[in-house]
Amino acid sequence: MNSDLERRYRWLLRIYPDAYRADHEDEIMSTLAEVSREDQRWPSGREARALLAAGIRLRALTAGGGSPTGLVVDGLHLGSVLLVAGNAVGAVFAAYAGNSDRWHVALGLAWVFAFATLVRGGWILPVAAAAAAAALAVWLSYDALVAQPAQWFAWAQVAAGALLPAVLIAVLAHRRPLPGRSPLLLLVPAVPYALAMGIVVSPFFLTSTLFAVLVVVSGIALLALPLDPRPAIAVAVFLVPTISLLIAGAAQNVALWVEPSWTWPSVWALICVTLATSGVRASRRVARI
Amino acid sequence: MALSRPALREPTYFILASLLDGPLHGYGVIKQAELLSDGRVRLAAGTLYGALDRLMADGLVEERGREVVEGRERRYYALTDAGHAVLAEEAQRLAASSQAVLLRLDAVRGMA
Repeated sequence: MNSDLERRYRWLLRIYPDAYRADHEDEIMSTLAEVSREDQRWPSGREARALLAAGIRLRALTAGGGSPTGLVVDGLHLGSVLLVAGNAVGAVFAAYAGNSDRWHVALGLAWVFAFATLVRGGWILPVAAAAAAAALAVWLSYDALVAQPAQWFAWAQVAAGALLPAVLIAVLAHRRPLPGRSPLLLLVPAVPYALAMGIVVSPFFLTSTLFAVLVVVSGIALLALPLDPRPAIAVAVFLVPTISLLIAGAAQNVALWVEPSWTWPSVWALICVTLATSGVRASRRVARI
Repeated sequence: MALSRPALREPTYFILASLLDGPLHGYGVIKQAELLSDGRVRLAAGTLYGALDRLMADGLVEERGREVVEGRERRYYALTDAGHAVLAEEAQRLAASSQAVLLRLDAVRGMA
């Protein structure tokens, strides 16, 4: 195997988990050398696809402990981290747009802190931080909830946006200490906000940008299903607050993000259920030998 | 016949089968699987090591020594007793499935 081909194969092998690569990289390179032609300078498409697919699948299986249940649990954890990231990003951008009082700025900081603890992993700190942020969200909404108990959207926002991630994190941490996560997950909710806010501060534009990004992310999660079911389950979890708010808006004929209609919540609910059920089914296939 | 585990994927089946004659290193498994499957199963390295990793985690395959050839590491893999049993069960399942279809084909031909 010439040095160009070896360098390119080693670059592809970076998709594998570090621990696996440390143990198996030389061995895999040895086999790749045996199946390669002497004058070959680029990885074959077949070998490259297989390496990428195996690396992604191995990452999923490593995170999920090798079992279908573990994959689903890790997907739920990923979803709850995305929800916390969404809350943090939403609060930061609301403050940036001048739509926050100091208590809502404090709430944003609480979500940012909760996200930081989830990036680090463990169990006491992430559970406590998410619970504290959720409690602050309930407290800040308390007046609205008590004064206007029929305002479903306020209840939906608190229940699905704040309590859901806090409860999920507590339940998952009860099972085992939470694994650390990449801080880059913050980009999933931050990119549409940044795009929308960078061009024009408009609720309509923000909504359409958010929806467009959610469609793209859902599509990527569906495409990744044969190798990694966790993104599909995570995106399904991430969609729950959006759907709750859209349902509340339609039920009360209030324009929340979009004109009140049962079409949007129905479409997103269908996408959410499709992602969740496909993710659970795919977790059995991915874990199969 | 009730199955105690889901059916194996075809590449996994031939990886296990390739180890029946004794331990092999990665490239040896690729060649033997291709031979046993009459050229149908051509394992890519990524597919092979992904499957071997899962088979080792499930106790169906074990590592049986290492050596360095021309400066590169080779690891040898062997079937465990559990791997042998799973392979035998899968081979019987495939044989039973084939037999059922062959009987039906004979019956249909007989009616024609």
